[in-house]
Amino acid sequence: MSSIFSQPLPSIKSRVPVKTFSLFFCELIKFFNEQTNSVTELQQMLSDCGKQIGVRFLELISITERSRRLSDPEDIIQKVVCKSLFGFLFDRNLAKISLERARQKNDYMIKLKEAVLSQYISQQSYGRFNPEFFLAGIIEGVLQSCGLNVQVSAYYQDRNDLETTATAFYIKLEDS
Amino acid sequence: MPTKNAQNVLKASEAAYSKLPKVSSELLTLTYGVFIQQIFKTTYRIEDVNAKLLEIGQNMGLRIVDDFLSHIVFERCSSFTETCQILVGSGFMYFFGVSGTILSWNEENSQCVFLLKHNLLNNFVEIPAHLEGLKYNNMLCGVIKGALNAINFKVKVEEVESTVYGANDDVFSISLEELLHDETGE
Repeated sequence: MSSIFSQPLPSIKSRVPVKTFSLFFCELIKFFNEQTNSVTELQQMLSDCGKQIGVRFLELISITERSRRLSDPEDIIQKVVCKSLFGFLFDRNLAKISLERARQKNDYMIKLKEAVLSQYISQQSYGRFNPEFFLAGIIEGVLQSCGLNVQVSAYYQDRNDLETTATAFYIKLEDS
Repeated sequence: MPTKNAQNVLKASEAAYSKLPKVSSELLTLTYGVFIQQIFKTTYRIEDVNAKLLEIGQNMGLRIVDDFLSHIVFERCSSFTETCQILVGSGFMYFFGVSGTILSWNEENSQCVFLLKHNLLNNFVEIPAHLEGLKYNNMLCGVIKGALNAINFKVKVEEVESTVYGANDDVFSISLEELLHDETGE
């Protein structure tokens, strides 16, 4: 049985335009919206979807990088998520992010200047529904695969400014 | 075989594609897989899943035509064959980065069969035996159907061969069923 295991691993990063992904992402959200009754449920569903993707992403990222041992959570978030994951997902300069410590002791925030995957989704629909919960789910999946017990959620950085899509991903480390 | 118009459009779409901001194609592949799993949570029947994928593809296809036409300017197509050449060659190039190839036409020029190498949606996908009959590429079929519907061609699009079932490449067929007329006359 030849099938998928005899195919070569992807060696070059293959890309697809953001607009193609967006078209599909919008349909996905529409579909989930039919299954759920509230914004919170919809966000949770998107996050779960992202988590399933995130757990598979860690392997994809690690194939192309040197193996290394990381134990400090901040190191893991910085190197695996901020550098590797975002570098793998997006073109250079497409997603401008910065990592900060949150006010709570062990929590971190990744601030994204402009949403990439949901850039064509209007903010004014469905109250303050944030489609970036999908990406939050991916981050959560990747970090949980690394062994960190985390919960990741997405918030608009400025609740009152409807023009901007600047999002903060709040990474809450649960004490294990 | 492709007309001069189609060849020019292909060059234009390659140029346009290279300028577009992009994301990882594995993201699309994985998201599509997870999405199909989600659809299966709403229904057990494979025919329903296939129909849902087709419907979703059609919604996407309706919007895709406007996007393409607003970025790539070209002469009006003279025939259904030319339309298909542009859709298969340049449409896929612009949105996917890979160009499809038309393999053959039937005698009346109303049905064509085309090949798509390196289909992003089914990289490393295998269908388990109990889900045999799932048309994994049906969303793509829907996109083509919706796109041609938006320009007044009522078509039937089907997957003929699929890599998820062991074929070497994905092969689709487009059959023209009827020409639609604009609701408001032009």
